[in-house]
Amino acid sequence: MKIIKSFRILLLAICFGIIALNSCKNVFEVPDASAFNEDDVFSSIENTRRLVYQMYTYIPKPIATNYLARLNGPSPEVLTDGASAYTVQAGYGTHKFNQGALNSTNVLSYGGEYSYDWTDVREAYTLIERVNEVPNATTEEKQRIIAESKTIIANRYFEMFKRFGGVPIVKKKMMDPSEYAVVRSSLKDTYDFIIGLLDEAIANPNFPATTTGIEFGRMNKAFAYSLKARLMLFAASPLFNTATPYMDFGADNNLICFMNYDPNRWKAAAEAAKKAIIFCESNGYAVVNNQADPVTNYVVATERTPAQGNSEVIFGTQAEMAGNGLLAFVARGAPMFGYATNVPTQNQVERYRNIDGTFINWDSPIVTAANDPTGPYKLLEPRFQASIGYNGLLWYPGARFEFFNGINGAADGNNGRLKSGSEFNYAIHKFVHGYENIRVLNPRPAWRVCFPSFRLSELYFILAEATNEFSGPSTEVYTALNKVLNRSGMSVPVITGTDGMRDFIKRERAIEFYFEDQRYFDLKRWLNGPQGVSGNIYNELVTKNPSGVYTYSKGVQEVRVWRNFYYLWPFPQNEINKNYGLIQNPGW
Amino acid sequence: MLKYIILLCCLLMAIVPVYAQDLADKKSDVKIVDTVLILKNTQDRIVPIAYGLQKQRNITSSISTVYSDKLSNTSVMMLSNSLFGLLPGLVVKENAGEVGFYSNDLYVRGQSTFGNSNAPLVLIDGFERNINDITQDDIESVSVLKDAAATAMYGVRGANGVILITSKRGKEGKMKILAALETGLSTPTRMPSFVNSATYAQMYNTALSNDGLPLRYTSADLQGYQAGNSIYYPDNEWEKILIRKTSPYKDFNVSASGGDKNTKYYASLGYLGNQGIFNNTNFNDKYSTNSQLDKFNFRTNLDVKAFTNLDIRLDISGQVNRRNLPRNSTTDIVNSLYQYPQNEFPEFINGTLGGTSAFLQNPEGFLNRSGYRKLHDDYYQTGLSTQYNFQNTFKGLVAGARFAYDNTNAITETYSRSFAVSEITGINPDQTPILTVRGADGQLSYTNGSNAQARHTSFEGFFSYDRTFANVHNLKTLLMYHQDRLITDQSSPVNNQFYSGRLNYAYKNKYLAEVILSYSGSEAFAPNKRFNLFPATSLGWILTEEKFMKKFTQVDFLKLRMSAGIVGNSMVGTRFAYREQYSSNGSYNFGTNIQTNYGIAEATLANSNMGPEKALKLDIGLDAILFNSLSVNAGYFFQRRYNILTSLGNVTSSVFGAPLPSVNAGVVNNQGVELALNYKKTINKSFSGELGFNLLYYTNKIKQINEQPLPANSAYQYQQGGNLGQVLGLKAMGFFKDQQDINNSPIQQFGPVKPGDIKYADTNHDGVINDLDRTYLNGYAVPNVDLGFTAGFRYKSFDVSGILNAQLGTNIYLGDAPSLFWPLSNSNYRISDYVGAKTPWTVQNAVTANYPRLTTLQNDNNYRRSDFWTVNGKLLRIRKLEIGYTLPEFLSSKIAMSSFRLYVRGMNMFTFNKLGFVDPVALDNNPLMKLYTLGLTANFK
Repeated sequence: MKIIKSFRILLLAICFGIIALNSCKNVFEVPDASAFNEDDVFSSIENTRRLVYQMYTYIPKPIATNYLARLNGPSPEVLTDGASAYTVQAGYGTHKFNQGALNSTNVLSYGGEYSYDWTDVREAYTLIERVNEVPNATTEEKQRIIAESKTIIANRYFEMFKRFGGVPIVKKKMMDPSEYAVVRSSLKDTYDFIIGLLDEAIANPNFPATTTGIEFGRMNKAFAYSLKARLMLFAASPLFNTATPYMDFGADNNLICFMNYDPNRWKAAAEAAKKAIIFCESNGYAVVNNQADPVTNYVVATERTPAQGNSEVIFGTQAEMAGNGLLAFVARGAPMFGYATNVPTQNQVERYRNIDGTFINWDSPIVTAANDPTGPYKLLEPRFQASIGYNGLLWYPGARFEFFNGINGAADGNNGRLKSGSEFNYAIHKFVHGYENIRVLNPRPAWRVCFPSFRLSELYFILAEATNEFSGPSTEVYTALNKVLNRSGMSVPVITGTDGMRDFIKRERAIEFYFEDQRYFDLKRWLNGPQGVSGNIYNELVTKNPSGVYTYSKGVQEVRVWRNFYYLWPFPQNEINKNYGLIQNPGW
Repeated sequence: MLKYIILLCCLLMAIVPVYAQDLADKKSDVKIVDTVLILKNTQDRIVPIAYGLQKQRNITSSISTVYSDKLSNTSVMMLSNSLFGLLPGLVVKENAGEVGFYSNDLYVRGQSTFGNSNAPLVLIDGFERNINDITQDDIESVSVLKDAAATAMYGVRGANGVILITSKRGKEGKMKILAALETGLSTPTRMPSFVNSATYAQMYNTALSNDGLPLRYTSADLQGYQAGNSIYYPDNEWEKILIRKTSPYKDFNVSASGGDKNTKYYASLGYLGNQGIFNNTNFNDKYSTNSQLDKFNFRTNLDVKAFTNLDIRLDISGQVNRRNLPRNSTTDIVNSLYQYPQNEFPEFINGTLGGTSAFLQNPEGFLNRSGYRKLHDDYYQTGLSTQYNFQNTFKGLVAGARFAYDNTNAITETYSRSFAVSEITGINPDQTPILTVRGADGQLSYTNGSNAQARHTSFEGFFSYDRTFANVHNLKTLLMYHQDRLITDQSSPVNNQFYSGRLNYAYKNKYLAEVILSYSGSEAFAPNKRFNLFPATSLGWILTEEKFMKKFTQVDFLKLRMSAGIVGNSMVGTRFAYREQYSSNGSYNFGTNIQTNYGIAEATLANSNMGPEKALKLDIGLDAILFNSLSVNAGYFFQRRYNILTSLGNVTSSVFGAPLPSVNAGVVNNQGVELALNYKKTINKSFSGELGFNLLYYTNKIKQINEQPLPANSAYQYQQGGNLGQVLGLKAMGFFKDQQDINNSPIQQFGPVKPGDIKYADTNHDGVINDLDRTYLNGYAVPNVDLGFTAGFRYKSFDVSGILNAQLGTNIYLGDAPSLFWPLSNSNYRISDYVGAKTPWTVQNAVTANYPRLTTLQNDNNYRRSDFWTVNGKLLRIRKLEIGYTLPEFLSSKIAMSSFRLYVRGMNMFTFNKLGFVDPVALDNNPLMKLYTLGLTANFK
């Protein structure tokens, strides 16, 4: 019985011990680690910088870098006649545009850009309003962050300006959700607002002229100058520079046009471009023209970072595409084995001239000599060679594009139509140079590429286009264009008249800025939707005889639809439905 | 068997030597109370209520209880699987899963909120614990606390209802040893089947021609497939090759209980083993790739009277699980069986796995040559409670404290390997295949492990006072303090704290009243919203105590009860939402060699007024016993759930620029009826029987929710006004007859359409068909009618019993299992017999077609939610059927037993529903299993 008693006492002691240890203090202590608030962001420059980086996170990239990016796979270039995406993949977002099935409800599913715009604007205002509180930052850095934030806001507004026209103008960080009911301002006010932001950034002495080394990719004064020129070109173009917009919007016409035509807008654009060129070139930017050959010149200018010799990229986004990222981008089947979100079309191929300046006649079938598959292509200019993969091209040893179908008993190529479903018989080559070298490594490292958002070359194109519109194809126009064309071994032929020069510039822009997210909005600002978006999209069928003779013939692969109200983007329908006064663009 | 008894004895000797010694001194003259009471006396049964016990007759809130006699007669791996049809008001929503992972969702009176959680609070022996963390055989009772009066003690945790589980405890008396041994076979309730390769090839060709693509199979190919399985014309019925017909199941339990006035004990040990469904899994050296569960559990519950007035309880229990699993998730494996082509390559060619460059994952290899996983998970629960009875100094007053410490952890070991397949790339002149090896056979290697832990500590203190004055006024009070902390590897610790009190008053055992108050809080909310007061009250009137009822002799007992109160739900899915927060977000690459810089972003805006969900509950019911054989429990309930979180962002413009918080603005009403009938009759000494029936029917309605605004002509898509769990879908109107039909119909914006595609109704008459044309397909996410039927008969030494459960009100969406119902696109390379038995649309049979045209391309028009793919989900299952034989006592006593029973039992034997092809809860997931067992139970003297 003794043992029982001692056992009981032991139990009792345990009980009271536990109770004593569990007094009820601090039940609701809140963990410190999760209490990071805005005051903490501005308590040190290290934290503040993270908010600066955050502004860049959702910056629009010209290229879709992952499978679920902006257009559900394909890049914006696929919205033009220059490119397509695998039609069997019905989920690719560009099909909705190209089949004319886009509406203000389903446009929502493409990445929620509209809300990102406002998130970014809010972050920038937060920095502008509070960066001066940071205790351990120099005045220079604080001022720089303010100028940088203003440029970020301007860039976001420009992206909205070109998509929507006049948009709500927000001039501060909103504190109370009830302030949200900001309605659209006129196109002119939106334009003036952006110019104002850029002028403030340019006037800021602490805003660095250029960002290099580990700061490459951050916005700088050169970009502010350049963006201004780009914006002014857009403002001068027919879409907005008019009293009668593309669709009559009645009392709201001022939301979608300037309400007058003013040729001086072209002049202003030309001057802005000239100013920007002078500023950039005096700060070390130069059109890349010092590489081994013209193809490499173009590849370096469009795919590489400053450290890799690219002296003309003013703002670029560096991406790392592992696994599916790159696969989403490139062609199906051998040798790339991708998902064909970005496929060049015959329409684009026909824009390129031969190195001697002549055009190939693609309208009748081309029959090659025996065993010369690249016959039609090998004389095309360097930018073609750098941008597009075609039948017979050796990508790297052991990997050749073989888009042909064998006839009369000859075997199909490794990427014949029935084998991999290639539809256009072309593959994107731009942005993939060098991938062949890492492709064979195991484990395969992620593919790194720098997508240029603004290159010095564009400023020359802006100068040329605006000058031509304002004062005709003067020598200044030729000089500006040749500055860019010459480094690719090409030059401007003799052209008569403003119209002729305008057509030349339009085609050259489609070539020079292929897949750089320019052409879809170029077509819109030129009011060239029907010409550049709709109609027949051609492929190039390749057959091979047992004799080794290849026949190239052109076929219609898609017929696309343009709708006039596509000129401006719809606001997401659910934003309109919130009924706070946001006016939808016409036609949607 | 003997082994286990010895094991148990060892355990007992180790832990409780004192009792054995104690018992030896005693005479076993204590009368053992029979647990089977006659029906009238059930009203005297003491049943568990929130933090206490109460006589059944005095309960004025809504509580249903099921006892061990019903529960232990089912064979399940987890408790939630044995509750079907047994507890009125509890809806068990069944989920399929792999061995030992079936875990069902429980809903007390259905869904009541569109907020984060409808899950009831589950307490085992008074502490919050996972419902599956107790072994069936250790359970004394399971109660469901439904109305506000029953759960108000739990305050901010009480809104979703509470489930109280009580484990068995020792009773005064001689040691009783109970041994149960069961062995059986489990087999899928239903397995989907697929068309053979010949039919597949034909249908594939039809699909290609529908798509305007060249045919793939020549007539020679078709003939080849007709001839049957060969290496050139394979016909791999993966589900037959790789899924076993039966898998063994075994379950042993042994327990010992007893005690004297001062010490009582209950101790048990158990083992449960069940193998998984996969075949050919012992191909590998020294390891299996089948799933396999080995579960060991133990429990010791001690009651000790330390001093005259001091009672101590010490409960220790635990479970050790060892699971073996294939490397790939069993869901992926089952999917690969249903998806992978059966005719592209043979399973084996000359002893090596078949495959092609496009199909490298031969299911045989995917299952059996990809490695395996080992999961070790276990839990230990410790509960210690003490109470002191001040009967000498202050009669009726009791003070006590309770403490629990629970620990769970889980470790996964993963071993992977790769495997090669051989592709037939040509044929030699001698007709043997030319093989090309794709991939490589890899070595088994340890790839990764994972480790998860949780620790839950609870502490409670209480005072209670129970006294009857002047023989008519009975007063019972309870004052509680509670705090608990759950520490996991997922988030910062979760804390709860509350102060609760209850006052019961009974006048002459006739008029009953109860008031409950809880001041309870959770740190998830803003300091000024943390604590909330939750009041509830209930009233009861026992009519049979009234004189005027005495003449109704048929009515043995009649009680009317009603309750009202407010309870809360703190599990709103977001914590600390009252604080402004910045958190790590995206990143951006700067520099010349990709310098990733990490950003920090404003998180959802603070809502400084965020508080818990609340529920106003009303309940009216009656409990009656008629003819001393029929008990009736009936009731009506109403619940208004309010303060449900609903997003402000849905109504505020994006121009604001920051994610907007949710606000406590949602409201849902839920109401329904419950009925339970139990009839029990002993005809004579050799024949007795009982029948039970229970029913729950409820409806709910969303009264307030912040929704994204919709165009005026699509206002029918607002959730407000509809029921919880409703789903939007299009209305199908047959198939397009021809191109002209397409041209004359509204444009369907989901993708290109061809004749034979599904034609949809233009609900909003805007001339186009898009998501705005979807309307709500009637149906609940959780069954809104739940019926249970139980029966048990005993004739002499034989007994028969069964449980039936029916659930109505839900829909099955066939699109949830595209591999079975949407063949040939999106990597679904097999055609199920479900589709095979249909008549897919072709030009020839356009009139008789009952399935859209087959296509090999992605078809976003047909393959989307519409009523075409919706099947009524009503389901009836015979959950259990059992036949038993009890050895006559004169025989069993000869082998030292007080009783010995043998039985045959079938679980989930029969399933009836509209979609006969596959079990509705499994579809393309792990099949649900039925189980046939043979068992015995023995009570040793």
